[in-house]
Amino acid sequence: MCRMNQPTELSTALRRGTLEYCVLALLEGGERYGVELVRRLGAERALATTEGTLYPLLSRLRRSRWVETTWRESPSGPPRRYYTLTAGGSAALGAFRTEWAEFRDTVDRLVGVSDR
Amino acid sequence: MTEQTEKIDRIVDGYLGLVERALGGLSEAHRAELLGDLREHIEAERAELTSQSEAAIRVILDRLGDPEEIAAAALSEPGRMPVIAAAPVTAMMPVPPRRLGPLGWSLIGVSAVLVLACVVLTILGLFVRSEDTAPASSVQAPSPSPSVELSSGAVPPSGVVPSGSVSSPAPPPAS
Repeated sequence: MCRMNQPTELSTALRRGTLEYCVLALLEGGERYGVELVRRLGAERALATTEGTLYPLLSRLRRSRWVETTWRESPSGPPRRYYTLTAGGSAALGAFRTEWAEFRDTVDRLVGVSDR
Repeated sequence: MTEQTEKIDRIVDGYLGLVERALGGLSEAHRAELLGDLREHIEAERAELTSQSEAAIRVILDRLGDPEEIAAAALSEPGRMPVIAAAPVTAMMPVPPRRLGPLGWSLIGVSAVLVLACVVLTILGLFVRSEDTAPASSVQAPSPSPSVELSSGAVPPSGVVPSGSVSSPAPPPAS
Protein backbone atom coordinates (compact mmCIF):
# COMPACT_ATOMS: atom_id res chain seq x y z
CA MET A 1 0.00 0.00 0.00
CA CYS A 2 1.52 3.28 -0.97
CA ARG A 3 1.57 5.98 1.62
CA MET A 4 0.42 9.23 0.14
CA ASN A 5 1.21 12.59 1.56
CA GLN A 6 -2.18 13.75 2.68
CA PRO A 7 -3.20 17.31 2.02
CA THR A 8 -2.11 19.47 4.95
CA GLU A 9 -5.63 20.72 5.44
CA LEU A 10 -6.84 17.27 6.47
CA SER A 11 -3.93 16.54 8.80
CA THR A 12 -4.29 19.99 10.37
CA ALA A 13 -7.96 19.34 11.00
CA LEU A 14 -7.24 15.94 12.53
CA ARG A 15 -4.42 17.33 14.65
CA ARG A 16 -6.52 20.12 16.05
CA GLY A 17 -8.02 19.04 19.33
CA THR A 18 -6.02 15.84 19.61
CA LEU A 19 -2.37 16.85 19.64
CA GLU A 20 -2.53 18.49 23.07
CA TYR A 21 -3.71 15.20 24.56
CA CYS A 22 -0.76 13.43 22.97
CA VAL A 23 1.46 15.89 24.85
CA LEU A 24 -0.40 15.23 28.12
CA ALA A 25 -0.17 11.47 27.55
CA LEU A 26 3.59 11.66 27.02
CA LEU A 27 3.87 13.39 30.39
CA GLU A 28 1.78 10.78 32.15
CA GLY A 29 4.80 8.60 32.83
CA GLY A 30 6.69 11.45 34.47
CA GLU A 31 8.34 14.76 33.73
CA ARG A 32 10.01 15.43 30.41
CA TYR A 33 12.46 17.96 29.18
CA GLY A 34 10.82 20.35 26.70
CA VAL A 35 13.15 19.68 23.79
CA GLU A 36 12.81 15.94 24.29
CA LEU A 37 9.01 16.25 24.31
CA VAL A 38 8.96 18.28 21.12
CA ARG A 39 11.46 15.97 19.42
CA ARG A 40 9.42 12.92 20.33
CA LEU A 41 6.21 14.32 18.83
CA GLY A 42 7.98 15.83 15.84
CA ALA A 43 9.31 12.37 14.99
CA GLU A 44 5.77 10.92 14.70
CA ARG A 45 5.18 11.11 10.98
CA ALA A 46 1.42 10.59 11.14
CA LEU A 47 1.02 13.65 13.33
CA ALA A 48 2.65 15.69 10.56
CA THR A 49 3.90 18.33 12.92
CA THR A 50 7.20 20.14 13.01
CA GLU A 51 8.92 20.72 16.33
CA GLY A 52 8.46 24.48 16.22
CA THR A 53 4.69 24.34 15.83
CA LEU A 54 4.46 22.54 19.18
CA TYR A 55 5.76 25.49 21.17
CA PRO A 56 2.60 27.60 20.87
CA LEU A 57 0.68 24.52 22.03
CA LEU A 58 2.98 24.03 25.02
CA SER A 59 2.56 27.69 25.88
CA ARG A 60 -1.23 27.27 25.96
CA LEU A 61 -0.98 24.16 28.11
CA ARG A 62 1.13 26.12 30.58
CA ARG A 63 -1.35 28.98 30.67
CA SER A 64 -4.29 26.65 31.21
CA ARG A 65 -2.29 24.97 33.99
CA TRP A 66 -2.59 21.52 32.52
CA VAL A 67 1.19 21.33 32.70
CA GLU A 68 3.75 22.93 34.99
CA THR A 69 7.34 23.68 34.24
CA THR A 70 10.48 23.90 36.31
CA TRP A 71 13.89 25.07 35.26
CA ARG A 72 16.86 22.93 36.08
CA GLU A 73 20.55 23.19 35.44
CA SER A 74 21.87 21.06 32.61
CA PRO A 75 25.17 19.19 32.63
CA SER A 76 25.80 20.68 29.19
CA GLY A 77 24.37 23.88 27.80
CA PRO A 78 21.68 26.25 29.06
CA PRO A 79 19.21 25.44 31.89
CA ARG A 80 16.46 23.06 30.83
CA ARG A 81 12.76 23.43 31.23
CA TYR A 82 11.01 20.30 32.50
CA TYR A 83 7.30 19.70 31.99
CA THR A 84 5.03 17.84 34.41
CA LEU A 85 1.37 16.97 34.24
CA THR A 86 -0.89 18.70 36.78
CA ALA A 87 -3.99 17.18 38.39
CA GLY A 88 -6.09 19.31 36.03
CA GLY A 89 -4.15 18.04 33.03
CA SER A 90 -4.56 14.47 34.20
CA ALA A 91 -8.32 14.92 34.56
CA ALA A 92 -8.52 16.50 31.11
CA LEU A 93 -6.63 13.56 29.63
CA GLY A 94 -9.01 11.13 31.33
CA ALA A 95 -12.03 12.97 29.94
CA PHE A 96 -10.48 13.01 26.48
CA ARG A 97 -9.78 9.27 26.55
CA THR A 98 -13.43 8.47 27.19
CA GLU A 99 -14.64 10.84 24.52
CA TRP A 100 -11.99 9.80 22.02
CA ALA A 101 -12.79 6.09 22.31
CA GLU A 102 -16.42 6.77 21.51
CA PHE A 103 -15.55 9.14 18.68
CA ARG A 104 -13.02 6.75 17.14
CA ASP A 105 -15.40 3.79 17.37
CA THR A 106 -18.12 5.76 15.66
CA VAL A 107 -15.85 6.93 12.84
CA ASP A 108 -14.50 3.40 12.41
CA ARG A 109 -18.04 2.06 12.21
CA LEU A 110 -19.18 4.67 9.70
CA VAL A 111 -16.06 4.94 7.56
CA GLY A 112 -14.87 1.37 8.00
CA VAL A 113 -11.41 0.08 8.77
CA SER A 114 -9.51 -1.39 5.83
CA ASP A 115 -7.81 -4.75 6.34
CA ARG A 116 -4.09 -4.47 6.05
CA MET B 1 36.15 28.60 15.17
CA THR B 2 34.74 31.87 16.51
CA GLU B 3 34.07 32.91 12.96
CA GLN B 4 32.08 29.72 12.48
CA THR B 5 30.14 30.33 15.71
CA GLU B 6 29.32 33.87 14.62
CA LYS B 7 28.11 32.59 11.30
CA ILE B 8 25.85 30.06 13.03
CA ASP B 9 24.57 32.80 15.35
CA ARG B 10 23.65 34.85 12.31
CA ILE B 11 21.77 31.91 10.79
CA VAL B 12 19.83 31.41 14.03
CA ASP B 13 19.05 35.12 14.36
CA GLY B 14 17.93 35.21 10.74
CA TYR B 15 15.61 32.28 11.34
CA LEU B 16 14.08 33.77 14.48
CA GLY B 17 13.73 37.09 12.66
CA LEU B 18 11.63 35.37 10.02
CA VAL B 19 9.38 33.89 12.71
CA GLU B 20 9.05 37.26 14.42
CA ARG B 21 8.11 39.02 11.22
CA ALA B 22 5.40 36.46 10.54
CA LEU B 23 3.94 36.89 14.03
CA GLY B 24 2.38 40.25 13.22
CA GLY B 25 -0.99 39.78 14.86
CA LEU B 26 0.26 38.20 18.07
CA SER B 27 0.45 40.10 21.35
CA GLU B 28 3.86 41.30 22.47
CA ALA B 29 3.93 38.92 25.46
CA HIS B 30 3.06 35.85 23.38
CA ARG B 31 5.53 36.81 20.70
CA ALA B 32 8.36 37.20 23.23
CA GLU B 33 7.42 33.93 24.87
CA LEU B 34 7.43 31.95 21.62
CA LEU B 35 10.70 33.47 20.41
CA GLY B 36 12.22 32.69 23.81
CA ASP B 37 11.03 29.08 23.63
CA LEU B 38 12.44 28.66 20.11
CA ARG B 39 15.77 30.21 21.03
CA GLU B 40 16.00 28.02 24.10
CA HIS B 41 15.30 24.95 21.94
CA ILE B 42 18.00 25.90 19.45
CA GLU B 43 20.55 26.62 22.19
CA ALA B 44 19.83 23.29 23.88
CA GLU B 45 20.21 21.44 20.57
CA ARG B 46 23.41 23.30 19.79
CA ALA B 47 24.86 22.36 23.17
CA GLU B 48 24.42 18.71 22.27
CA LEU B 49 26.22 19.01 18.93
CA THR B 50 29.64 17.43 18.71
CA SER B 51 30.71 19.91 16.05
CA GLN B 52 29.20 23.34 15.46
CA SER B 53 28.84 23.04 11.72
CA GLU B 54 26.54 25.02 9.51
CA ALA B 55 25.04 21.80 8.20
CA ALA B 56 24.20 20.64 11.73
CA ILE B 57 22.44 23.89 12.58
CA ARG B 58 20.47 23.69 9.34
CA VAL B 59 19.23 20.26 10.40
CA ILE B 60 18.09 21.66 13.76
CA LEU B 61 16.23 24.55 12.11
CA ASP B 62 14.76 22.24 9.51
CA ARG B 63 13.28 20.03 12.21
CA LEU B 64 11.89 23.11 13.97
CA GLY B 65 10.07 23.87 10.77
CA ASP B 66 9.09 26.63 8.42
CA PRO B 67 8.94 30.02 10.20
CA GLU B 68 5.66 30.83 8.46
CA GLU B 69 4.18 27.54 9.63
CA ILE B 70 5.24 28.12 13.24
CA ALA B 71 3.76 31.60 13.17
CA ALA B 72 0.53 30.26 11.68
CA ALA B 73 0.32 27.69 14.48
CA ALA B 74 0.82 30.43 17.07
CA LEU B 75 -1.77 32.69 15.48
CA SER B 76 -4.35 29.92 15.28
CA GLU B 77 -3.95 29.02 18.95
CA PRO B 78 -7.04 29.98 20.91
CA GLY B 79 -6.13 32.64 23.43
CA ARG B 80 -8.42 31.15 26.02
CA MET B 81 -8.63 28.10 28.20
CA PRO B 82 -9.08 24.76 26.44
CA VAL B 83 -12.70 24.09 25.59
CA ILE B 84 -13.09 20.62 27.05
CA ALA B 85 -13.70 20.94 30.76
CA ALA B 86 -12.29 18.36 33.12
CA ALA B 87 -15.54 17.88 35.02
CA PRO B 88 -18.40 16.02 33.33
CA VAL B 89 -21.19 18.30 32.19
CA THR B 90 -23.90 16.33 33.98
CA ALA B 91 -22.34 17.12 37.36
CA MET B 92 -23.06 20.80 36.84
CA MET B 93 -26.68 20.39 35.78
CA PRO B 94 -29.24 21.22 38.48
CA VAL B 95 -31.66 18.43 39.33
CA PRO B 96 -35.20 19.53 38.46
CA PRO B 97 -37.67 19.33 41.39
CA ARG B 98 -40.11 16.43 41.03
CA ARG B 99 -43.82 16.86 41.47
CA LEU B 100 -45.54 14.61 43.99
CA GLY B 101 -48.51 12.50 42.94
CA PRO B 102 -51.47 11.64 45.24
CA LEU B 103 -49.64 8.51 46.38
CA GLY B 104 -46.62 10.58 47.35
CA TRP B 105 -48.70 13.01 49.37
CA SER B 106 -50.61 10.24 51.18
CA LEU B 107 -47.33 8.51 52.01
CA ILE B 108 -45.97 11.74 53.42
CA GLY B 109 -49.20 12.21 55.47
CA VAL B 110 -49.05 8.68 56.90
CA SER B 111 -45.37 9.06 57.74
CA ALA B 112 -45.98 12.39 59.44
CA VAL B 113 -48.78 10.90 61.60
CA LEU B 114 -46.58 7.93 62.53
CA VAL B 115 -43.64 10.16 63.45
CA LEU B 116 -45.90 12.43 65.52
CA ALA B 117 -47.42 9.41 67.31
CA CYS B 118 -43.96 8.06 68.12
CA VAL B 119 -42.84 11.39 69.50
CA VAL B 120 -45.95 11.80 71.68
CA LEU B 121 -45.72 8.23 73.01
CA THR B 122 -42.05 8.62 73.82
CA ILE B 123 -42.63 11.84 75.74
CA LEU B 124 -45.57 10.36 77.65
CA GLY B 125 -43.58 7.24 78.46
CA LEU B 126 -40.70 9.27 79.83
CA PHE B 127 -43.07 11.40 81.92
CA VAL B 128 -44.85 8.42 83.50
CA ARG B 129 -41.64 6.62 84.24
CA SER B 130 -40.07 9.64 85.92
CA GLU B 131 -43.14 9.95 88.20
CA ASP B 132 -42.98 6.27 89.17
CA THR B 133 -39.36 6.21 89.99
CA ALA B 134 -39.12 9.58 91.70
CA PRO B 135 -37.83 9.04 95.30
CA ALA B 136 -40.48 9.93 97.89
CA SER B 137 -37.93 11.24 100.34
CA SER B 138 -36.46 13.65 97.93
CA VAL B 139 -38.40 16.53 99.46
CA GLN B 140 -37.75 16.60 103.20
CA ALA B 141 -39.36 18.88 105.71
CA PRO B 142 -36.84 20.78 107.76
CA SER B 143 -36.51 19.21 111.19
CA PRO B 144 -36.97 21.59 114.06
CA SER B 145 -33.77 22.86 115.36
CA PRO B 146 -33.23 23.15 119.10
CA SER B 147 -32.11 26.72 118.78
CA VAL B 148 -35.28 27.91 117.11
CA GLU B 149 -36.21 31.31 118.34
CA LEU B 150 -39.80 31.36 119.32
CA SER B 151 -42.00 34.26 118.76
CA SER B 152 -43.53 35.78 121.85
CA GLY B 153 -46.73 34.23 122.99
CA ALA B 154 -46.11 30.98 121.32
CA VAL B 155 -46.34 27.97 123.44
CA PRO B 156 -43.14 26.14 123.38
CA PRO B 157 -43.56 22.53 122.59
CA SER B 158 -42.65 20.22 125.30
CA GLY B 159 -39.02 19.32 125.39
CA VAL B 160 -38.00 22.48 123.68
CA VAL B 161 -36.08 24.81 125.80
CA PRO B 162 -36.51 28.52 125.20
CA SER B 163 -33.59 30.26 123.61
CA GLY B 164 -30.82 31.35 125.81
CA SER B 165 -30.72 28.29 127.96
CA VAL B 166 -29.33 25.24 126.34
CA SER B 167 -29.90 22.02 128.07
CA SER B 168 -26.74 20.16 128.42
CA PRO B 169 -26.09 16.69 129.63
CA ALA B 170 -25.43 16.40 133.30
CA PRO B 171 -21.87 17.17 134.08
CA PRO B 172 -19.89 14.31 135.37
CA PRO B 173 -19.71 14.27 139.14
CA ALA B 174 -16.74 16.16 140.41
CA SER B 175 -14.25 13.92 141.99
